[in-house]
This record gives sequence, C-alpha cells and structure tokens, in this order.
Amino acid sequence: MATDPAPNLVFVTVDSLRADHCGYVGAGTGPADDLTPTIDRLADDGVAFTQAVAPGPRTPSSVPVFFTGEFMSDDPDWTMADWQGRQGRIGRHMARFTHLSERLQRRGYETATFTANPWTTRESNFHLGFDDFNEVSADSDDVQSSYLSDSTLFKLADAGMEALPVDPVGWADKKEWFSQWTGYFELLQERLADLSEPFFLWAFVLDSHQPYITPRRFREECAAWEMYYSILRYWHGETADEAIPPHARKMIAATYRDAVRSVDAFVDAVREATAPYDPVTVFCSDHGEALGEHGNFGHEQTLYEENLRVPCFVHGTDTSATVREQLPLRGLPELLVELTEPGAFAPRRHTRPFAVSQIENNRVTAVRTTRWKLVTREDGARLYDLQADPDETDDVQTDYPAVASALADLRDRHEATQAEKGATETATADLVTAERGSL
Amino acid sequence: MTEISLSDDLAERIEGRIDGTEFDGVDEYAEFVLGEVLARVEHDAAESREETASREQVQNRLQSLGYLEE
Repeated sequence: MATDPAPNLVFVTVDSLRADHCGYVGAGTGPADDLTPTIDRLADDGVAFTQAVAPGPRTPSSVPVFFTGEFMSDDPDWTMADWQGRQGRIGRHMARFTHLSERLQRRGYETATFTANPWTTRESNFHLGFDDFNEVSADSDDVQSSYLSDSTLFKLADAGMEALPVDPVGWADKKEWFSQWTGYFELLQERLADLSEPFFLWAFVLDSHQPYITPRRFREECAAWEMYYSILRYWHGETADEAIPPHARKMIAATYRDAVRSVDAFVDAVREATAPYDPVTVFCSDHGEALGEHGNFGHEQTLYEENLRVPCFVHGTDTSATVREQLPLRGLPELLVELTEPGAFAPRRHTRPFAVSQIENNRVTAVRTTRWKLVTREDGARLYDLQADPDETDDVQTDYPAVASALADLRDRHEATQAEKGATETATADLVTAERGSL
Repeated sequence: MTEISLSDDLAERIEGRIDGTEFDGVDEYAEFVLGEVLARVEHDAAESREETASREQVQNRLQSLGYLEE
C-alpha cells in the first residue's frame, strides 16, 4: 500500500511578535482585536497553541535553541559588547548539533530560507543544512539592498546615498531599519517556484522588530510622522536612559500594532503563494516584546511574560485543535520532523508541564508552568503566580514554599544537565584536538 | 533506530552521572555523547564559519538593531 508523500513544510518565524497581539491568543484583551485576521483564521483552522514559550527573550538566546533543541553552553567570558564572541558561540552551537534544517535535508527535503536577522547568518553557521540560503541585509551577496523595501522613498534615498562618494548620515548603517517583507517577497516567490518537493522553506522576517517602520498600506493608526517620531523618542529614551512620556508610549504601542498588521499581511501573502504546494505551515515568533511593562521597551534580557509568550500554530495537517497546555519552542525540531510523516502529528506530544527559558549568558533562568514562574537571578529567586499576578510584580515564595521548592528542583536538574553536556563538549573538543595533533 | 549494547560497567557509570539531571536514561546520555563526538569530527566549528561580511558591516548591523546594548 502506497504511503502518502512527505508534505512540503513552510516555517514562518516573526521577530518580536507578542502572543497577546494575535487575536486567537489575546482576543478580548484590547490590543489584539482585529490585528491578525489571517493568523487567527489559520490558527483556528489548524492547531493553535495558546501557551507557546520561547527559550530566550531575544533572537540569540531563542533561535539557536529552537533550531537545535539544545540550550547553548555557558561562556564565562560573555559580554554584550563582544558581538564576535556571541556570534562565534552561536556558530559553534549550530555546528555542534544536527539542527532542524539538517535533519530535514537528511530526510530528503530541499531546504531554503530567507532570513533577515543578523544573528542567523553564514557567520553563525545558520547556512548549514540549507540548499538555498538567502540573507536579507544591506550588505548581503544574496539579496541586493534595493530589495530591503519596496517604498519609493527608500529606493530614492538608497540610490541617492549610494551615489555619494561619502556617507554623511551613516545611511549604510541605518538601511537595516527599513527591512520589510514587501521588498523581497517577489524573490521568495521566485525561489519557491524553483524548489523541488518536498521542500522546507523557512522565512524569518524582521517587520515587527524595532524600529517599527511599516509600509503605508498597512498603517491604520499612525501617520508617517508619528511612526518616525515614536522611533526617535524610543531611541532617545534608550540612549539618555530617560523614562518615555505617556504620549510617546501610546504612539510606540500604536506603531507596533501597525507593524503587527504588516506581519499578518505577510502571513496572508505566504499562504497564497504556497497554496499550490499544499504545505504544512508552522508559524511562531522567536520571542515577545515589551511595550512599557516593567519599565522596558523592546526586548531586554528579562524573562517576563511579555518577553517569553509567543504565538504558534500549525496549519495544513488533518488535525484541528486549540492546545492550552504549554508548548516550549525548544521542542520545535521534533515537532517539525513529526510533520514530515502524514498522519503522525500529535500536538499534545510536544507540550510540557514545565518550560525552561534563559537569557543569553545563562545567568538568569525561568522555570514556568501555565500558572507559576520561578525566575532565578544571581541575587536570588522570585516566584510569580501568573494567574493571580499576571503583571509579575509580587514574589510569593513564602506563600507557596512547596511550589518554589519544586520549581527550584527542576531548575537545578536543568543546570546539572547543562553542566554535564558542557563537560562532554569540552572533553570531546580536547579528544579531537589531541587526535589531530598526533596525526 | 539502531540498538547498541553497552557493558554493565559503562551503563553503571553513566547512571551515576545522569542522576539529578534531565537525561531520561542511559541510552539518551549515550546518544548525546556519541552525537557530540560525531559533530566535532564532522565539523570543525572554527573552520566552517564563513566570513562573507566585513567585521565593521556586521557590527553596524547589530548596532542599528539594538543588539549591542544592555
């Protein structure tokens, strides 16, 4: 009896998209109303995960983990400013583990990607496992910078600045801000037509990453001047370490919502472009985004719900469900591999009662359930009751010592595991180095 | 999946190491270690990283998107 062929897989990752700004998760809470009609429809039609949790609050602490299923090993020399060290650490991690694209490639998939984030590049070994790797950036050899945006204003500015002998305004550095899916989508469609089946296509878009520069046709709340003013106000607040005033906070939130509208339009465009190939589509964000909660904007090295809760759905299988159990994104490689076998997808197989998240240097850890979160920093631990205290303001360890103790045990087991894995990494490196030295 | 056999001594030693960790059993630990060794032998992480962009370009890109600030 013939088995069904392996389905095409489309994996859409959106940078910095909050779960509560997607209607199927946050409907009725205000900000999510009517922002994401396509995402909501696909989630309702497929398997909607309402408690998906990112393994880290920023791209470098999240994407390498959900591509490999493994947390990165400790780096005692880690500093935020040492971008080369951080990039090297990700590169070693991606080379160390057989990751998502490699696993699918070994299963006979042709693999392709368009990725716009600076942490998921050839320099960090994200090209491994991809037959067709397209980095979307101002200096990419894969995609000309004119494809960063389809805005006439951008193209004119870019052409004008490129023609100048010098760069008086630092345009080369700022072009990244204008990375919009509308600029390079036609290239994605062209590549799609060339892929042999089954294919795995990963699209990682930056459109809801700050600064929230959104094409006019998707902006429903902010005029262009409001969009740029909110960006300047955000950057001023960051550099001057000043509180952002209420009127600017409202404007930043509104520009973010417009960016989310653009993301929803991207999902609709992908759905339409890939429909002839009848794919299974997996959608998620790599992490959330703060809009003033806990005094933060953007994505800081914190593990609050606004940083870790992400949307996630699977569309195109023969399964439809709303899954309210917790889904750690760390399990995505196993989930996507399961999707390669028609009829095999069991959504709740990938849920877990506990999810671990860490900041990039591994020095702050959260162990989360759907009700509790224990966050351990270098100065101690805090237990939050996510149902009674969704704003995560009160430490309730003394009120619930048994819960705190149980979550601390899980944290300790996680740290012991990471230590053991780190020891095998070091031992293996020494062994291979010694072997090569003896040849 | 392929089955392999381990000596009782090796299995005991592994059990001692995985006590208190998230490893589900001896086989998961053994698979992890073997995978680690194979990956190291198959890839040299320092050599396989392509450097297609200048350092200044990469730094500027990360800076412009806020990734180099605390």
